[in-house]
Amino acid sequence: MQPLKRFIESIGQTVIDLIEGLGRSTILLGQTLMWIPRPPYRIKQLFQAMEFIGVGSLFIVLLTGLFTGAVFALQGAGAFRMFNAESLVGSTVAISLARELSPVLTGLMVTGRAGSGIATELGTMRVTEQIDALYTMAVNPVQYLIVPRFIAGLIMVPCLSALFTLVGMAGCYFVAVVLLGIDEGTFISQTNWFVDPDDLTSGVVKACVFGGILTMVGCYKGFYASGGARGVGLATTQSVVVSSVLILISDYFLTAMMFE
Amino acid sequence: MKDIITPFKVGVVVVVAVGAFIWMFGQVEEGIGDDAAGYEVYALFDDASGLNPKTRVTIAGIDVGEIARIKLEGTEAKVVIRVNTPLRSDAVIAKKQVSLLGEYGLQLSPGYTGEPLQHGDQIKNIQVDVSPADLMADLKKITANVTDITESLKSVLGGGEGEEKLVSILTNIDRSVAELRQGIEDNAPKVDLVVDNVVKVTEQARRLTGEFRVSATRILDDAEAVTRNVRDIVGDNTGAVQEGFDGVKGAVVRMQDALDKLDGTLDAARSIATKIDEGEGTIGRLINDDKLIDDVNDLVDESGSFVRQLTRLQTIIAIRADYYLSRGAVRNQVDLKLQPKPDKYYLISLVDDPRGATSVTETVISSSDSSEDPVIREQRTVTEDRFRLSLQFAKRLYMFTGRIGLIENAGGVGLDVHLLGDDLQISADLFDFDSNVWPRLRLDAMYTFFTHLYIAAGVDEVLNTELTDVFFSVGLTFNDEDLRAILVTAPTPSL
Repeated sequence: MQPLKRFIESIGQTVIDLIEGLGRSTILLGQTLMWIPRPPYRIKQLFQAMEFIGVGSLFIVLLTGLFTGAVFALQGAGAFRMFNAESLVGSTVAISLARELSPVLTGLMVTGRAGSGIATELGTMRVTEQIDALYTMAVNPVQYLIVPRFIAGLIMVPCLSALFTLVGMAGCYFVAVVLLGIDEGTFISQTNWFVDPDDLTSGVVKACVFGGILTMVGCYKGFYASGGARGVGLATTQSVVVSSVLILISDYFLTAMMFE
Repeated sequence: MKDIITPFKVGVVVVVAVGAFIWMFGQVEEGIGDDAAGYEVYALFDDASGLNPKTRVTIAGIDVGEIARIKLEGTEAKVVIRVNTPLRSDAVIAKKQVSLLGEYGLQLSPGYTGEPLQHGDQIKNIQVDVSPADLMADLKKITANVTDITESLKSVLGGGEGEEKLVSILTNIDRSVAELRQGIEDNAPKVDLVVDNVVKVTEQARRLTGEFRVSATRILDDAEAVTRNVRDIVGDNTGAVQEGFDGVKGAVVRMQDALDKLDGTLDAARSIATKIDEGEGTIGRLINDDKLIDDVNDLVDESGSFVRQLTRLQTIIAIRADYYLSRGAVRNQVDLKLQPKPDKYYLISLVDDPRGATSVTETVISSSDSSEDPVIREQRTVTEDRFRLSLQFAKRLYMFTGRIGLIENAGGVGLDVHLLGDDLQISADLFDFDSNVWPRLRLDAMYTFFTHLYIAAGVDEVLNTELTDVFFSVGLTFNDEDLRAILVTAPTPSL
């Protein structure tokens, strides 16, 4: 009887934790949004966050984009060759990159690199009571720590996504035109024809949302970390996992809203 | 230094990213569908399968548009396309397969003679390409027919029985050929005999022809002898011929009597002619009296002049409408121009002026009552919606035409200047000297750009500035020939 009771208790506790976590994260998001327009503006912290999220993730994002475009071109050309339609490779890869691959993969890459870093940094500050120290200095930690990171995520992830698309198309062009010998004029004209401005803007909007998600999750997990070094590590792991899952889930709903 | 490097790095990334986005945006924004100059037309297809939004629309292989949207309208597919090239109502749109993947495109022929298509118009000429499904259906029918034939052949020739039939047919053919060969060999002597007989018959025919020639000569000789005998017979019967001559003589006598009567008639006619020559009787006076002849000539001349005048009189009817800008009212005028000579005409006009006809009456009342004014003058201006009449005489001298007479119920004069081969007429009318401080001066320029249609513009009440108004006009003119044509062809009411 005792194990069953513990099992039911654990389920109930999990549900309670989930709801509590949802509530706290919502409150944290509300506080963040509330603090955005209010001075003092932490410009220095904002640029530092942008450098950390954007510039720091630039290399890994560009590398991912280049090879993503290249491998999609390689696979697409093989598939389209069966129908003598290799000219569609460019447009197919371009639409895939603009709509889905760029924002999602950029989000995941930045989550892995910057989101985890944010969670670790804030978690460490939490367990070492630096955040409490901020309170004692009459500095609101939400405004000082979270707002700059949140804004940086909103700005830099779309930028990285746009660069991902550009570099991905460069990789696709290299493989399709240079290596596989697909006609360059057809490649470019088909790409220009089939890709809409809406495809690009939808990718940017998605990236913006993903930037907000990954920074907020990272901040939330770090901000409420507990349990010493192990708690910080756990918060980091949870931050990456939750951000990745939320990015993929929200991607589905965003796509449904934008293209259906 | 760190403080500077961080924003710089971030700025570089942002600038590059924004630049990349704008560049990509510009690259893909060049699609036809976003072209502001484009417009939408639609076509109704029975089957729009394979067509999708953004499917290309081409003319001669060049992209000129794309499918904007497809929706069901009744039982047909309404395919709305956006194009950036002019199309006409005889344009033809065709659904063409562009790849083996079932991908279709639309091919346009823009049309050449129809009316230009506007936004929202329909392309009514549709060509439907043969789809793989149609080809497969046709192929299926052919395959079924081939199958039927092969099955029939198989049922006839297949199996052991069919093989026996085939062997039997071949055996029969072989036997028939052998019998034919034997028949030819057996009948060869008979054929030779027939040929010999034919040769003999032709020789006999040739011999008979020679004998007939001799007989023909003899027949001609006999004919000559018969002719000679007939001549002899006629010579023996001369008495009978004499009787015939007696009959002819009687007829000549009767003819002589008729000629005598004709002589008498001619004598009477000669007597009448003599009397006429001498001026006797009515006809003689008519012919011989010079004064009477002159009178008749004068009468004929005058009649001719009158008829010429009548035929030369031109009747011109004009209808004109003037729109006054300030008043926002329309003035209508009907003109009847009677033109006996090219340089002279009489103009009768009936004018429906929105200002109406104004009459001023002044009443003077004298009073002996000391409490009142001794003299009260009441001036009453009454404006009635009444037609105005113009009666003018006009005379043209070179490019100027002067007019004088009644203009809109008031005395006045007018001057027309004719330019551009009379197509352009500039007119000035000065009339109605009493109604206002200054007489009414109307200036207008009238241009006839078709035979019966003219437009005009001008200024009315030029001198009375508080009443000055600009007007634009359009009018129609008809001359004699037009009126005759109208009266002949117009339907006549009947009871």
